[in-house]
Amino acid sequence: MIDFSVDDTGSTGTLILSGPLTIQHALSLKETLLKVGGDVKHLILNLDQVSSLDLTALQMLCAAHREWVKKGKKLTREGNVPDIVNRVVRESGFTGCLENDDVIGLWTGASN
Amino acid sequence: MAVEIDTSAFTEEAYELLSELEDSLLELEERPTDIELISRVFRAMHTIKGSGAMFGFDEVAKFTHEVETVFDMARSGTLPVTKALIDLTLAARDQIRSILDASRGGPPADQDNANRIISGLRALAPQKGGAAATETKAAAAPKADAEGPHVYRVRFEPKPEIFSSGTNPLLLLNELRDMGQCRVVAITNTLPSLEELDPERCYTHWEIFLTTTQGENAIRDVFIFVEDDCTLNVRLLTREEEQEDAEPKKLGEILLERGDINEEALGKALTPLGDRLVNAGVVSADKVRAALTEQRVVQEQKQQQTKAAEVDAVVRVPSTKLDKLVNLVGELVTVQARLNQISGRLNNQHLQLVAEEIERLTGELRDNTMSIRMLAIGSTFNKFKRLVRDLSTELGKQMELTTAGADTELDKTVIDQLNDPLVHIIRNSIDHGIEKPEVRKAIGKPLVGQIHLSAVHSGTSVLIQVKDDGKGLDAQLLRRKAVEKGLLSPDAVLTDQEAFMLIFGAGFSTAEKITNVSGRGVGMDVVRKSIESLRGTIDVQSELGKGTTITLKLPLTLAIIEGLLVGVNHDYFVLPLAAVEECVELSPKDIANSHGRRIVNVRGEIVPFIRIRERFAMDGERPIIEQIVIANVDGRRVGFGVDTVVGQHQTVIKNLGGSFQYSDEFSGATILGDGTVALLLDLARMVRYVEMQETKETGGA
Amino acid sequence: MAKTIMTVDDSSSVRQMVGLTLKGEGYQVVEAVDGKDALTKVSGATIDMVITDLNMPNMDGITLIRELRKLPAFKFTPIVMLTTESQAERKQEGKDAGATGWIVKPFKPEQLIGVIKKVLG
Repeated sequence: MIDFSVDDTGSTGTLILSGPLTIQHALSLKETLLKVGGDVKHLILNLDQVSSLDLTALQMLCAAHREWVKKGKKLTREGNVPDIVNRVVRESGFTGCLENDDVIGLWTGASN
Repeated sequence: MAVEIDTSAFTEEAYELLSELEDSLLELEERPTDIELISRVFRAMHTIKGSGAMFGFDEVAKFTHEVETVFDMARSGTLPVTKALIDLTLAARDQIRSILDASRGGPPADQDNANRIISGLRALAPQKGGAAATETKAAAAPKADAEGPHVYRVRFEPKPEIFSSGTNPLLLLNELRDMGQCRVVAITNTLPSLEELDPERCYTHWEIFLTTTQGENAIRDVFIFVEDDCTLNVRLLTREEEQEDAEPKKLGEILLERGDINEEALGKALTPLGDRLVNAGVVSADKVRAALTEQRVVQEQKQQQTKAAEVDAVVRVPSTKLDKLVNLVGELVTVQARLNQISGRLNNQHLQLVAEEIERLTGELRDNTMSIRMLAIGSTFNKFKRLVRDLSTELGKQMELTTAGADTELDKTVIDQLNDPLVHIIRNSIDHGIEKPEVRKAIGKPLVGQIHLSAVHSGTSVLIQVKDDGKGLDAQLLRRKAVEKGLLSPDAVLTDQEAFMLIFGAGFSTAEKITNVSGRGVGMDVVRKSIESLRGTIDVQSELGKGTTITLKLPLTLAIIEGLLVGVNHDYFVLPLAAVEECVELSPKDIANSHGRRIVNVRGEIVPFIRIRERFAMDGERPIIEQIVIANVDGRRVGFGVDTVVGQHQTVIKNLGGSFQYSDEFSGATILGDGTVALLLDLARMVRYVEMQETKETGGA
Repeated sequence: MAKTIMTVDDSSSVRQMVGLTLKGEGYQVVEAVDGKDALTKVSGATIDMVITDLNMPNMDGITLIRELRKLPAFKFTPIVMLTTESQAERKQEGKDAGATGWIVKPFKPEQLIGVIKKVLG
């Protein structure tokens, strides 16, 4: 499931990704990520309930992250990064892709 | 005309590998999950097989191949390393040895035994198959060479539409990961903006650095299903000729060579190169990262290879050449001693300077030459691990061999001749010393008997100790047996220490039953003879019920010994300094007090002595004051009467010619600085002969 | 959650062998006797992978692969075809139709599992 909500002020958005982030859900993930890229200044990412992740999701998260950083959005994370996410990041060699990712902390704990 | 191939290079290497194999297997038994050991075993077999085939040792190659196949499963983790596997592999190792022996004129190898081993190994192996799934795989891609793992760079660029064939590229990466140590770098520089990105297409490609023992074909096989859906580039990064390169490639060189940047771009950017290159926009961060990874992986692999190379950088020289060198150095030492004498006499300062310089150089040359002949005793120790292991199984005893000082160095000749005596001593410990497990349990000892084998330097000697925690020697029993066998007169008074030495007497065996292992009535006296011929001594310590310690004291080298030069009349003799304890004077008054017996009172202790003059029926008058050199001979103090004690003398030992073969009271000769010959005394033999003679005389009286 | 694999073959012995092997590895198995049967059975079911024979009555394997790829749920599903040595050209045909990989008959259970690990993980 992909859920994106924006608070009343319209400046802080929370993106909750859960369940399988696989190619079958790639189109809707892209749609959501594009939406997220809109107005909010502060984006909170929650990956707590992600159950699987494939290359398509990694590619999109990577592309999205580049854009958010470029746009100067504040990025924070709530909840944990599940082991499965860390593992796929590591195995796919995306570890170093977002090396200055300490803000979002998506890859925390992933090392090659 | 048939071309003769010199096969000795192979057989020599094979024997060496076999001994390595044995060591590794025994180690593996202790650490069955040590993957490095498993690979070592595998590599040894792989090399034997490979070169065996090359040199026409088809039987070796065929047999080893079978063993290797099964062991490969252990390497890949599909077969656990069990005692059964090690037993069989050890047996296989012995079989390979006997095939080799047969090729050198030994008895033919037992083919039935070979078949038994093979079927035993096959029975251990799980059903064949595994990951092999495609016809290409079934065609068994040839294995990489045996030299060890290589680093490959795999560039994998899937076509964007690869997902629509149901392929998950990450699974392929994981498959590579199963082949060895693997670093994966994703290259995402073609990733478009989120807006333009088609989520169902693949924009990522990878650089994978794989350190594996498998060959390129095995790597390509991973990608068999996507052959037409990707660009695949596999390149061997560590190759023989590249090992010559002293330094791993620089980052810039790698980027250049990989075609990621051109020379101009490289010139634009410098320190820190990586960041600058990225900032300059000539190359993406991913590529720099991949290049850095390449640099690191190759460097690591090279370091490993260098390590291996350092260990392997050994020159083989036939030992006869070494012997010749040692002889020449010996001559030089002798000549140098003469030079010293002459220069001392001439009192010429210039000559003295040169003489001193030559003395120093000769000393260094001598020490260096001797050190070349020095080998660590460890390889001998390792053989005993096997012995102990086999004997425990044979005798139904449990024991453990521990060793210390395996790196202690000894002259090669000494090590070679030490093997048999040590085998006897260890067999004896196992057979007579260590009790059966049930007995040990009953008396509250740990079930597993301990044998400790150690070597340690002590001055110019090496002490080798075999210590067991078995039942110990029974001095009473030994005395009784000796009397029964007529080796000892019933009224003889022996200290415990002397009684222990009885086990080294000829024809002495206390084993109740004669076992296969020892107790054939030969053995320990042979040990004594061998050790004596090495100019060594034996000492036994034992405590009933607790254990026995046998200590061998051996000279570091056989070619040169420290001796004590003594004079009788105008002749010179050398006594091994290691045995000498002290020198005392014998005055006419002392002689009068001893009432014609050849004894000397040393601080209240009565020590018997032998007059060398009398022993060798030499002419000339005894000096008024005689010198008695007290030496330790087989644990007893015995004196040797001489006219003068000249002093310490470094003795280069020359063997005596055939005409002296019956004079075994001399173990050699040496040439003194002035060219005089001095004879080297074998003290133990001398004492024994004198005793025999006296027994005869008293018996005849 | 156990993954589900569909095995499509007109030979009951092959289906049985494949089925037993897969179940032994902890997969759920759905059997179909030919392409038509397979298409009927996939609707509404969650299938993680398909293993299909090529020569089958009613609808052959290549057609089945083509049909499956048209279904959104099977757009990216691993589909492995069973081929024989003599069918090299059909292998290419199958690939073009959208097959992920192939297994050459006769094969051993280990080989089958190897391929499944390769494409399904």
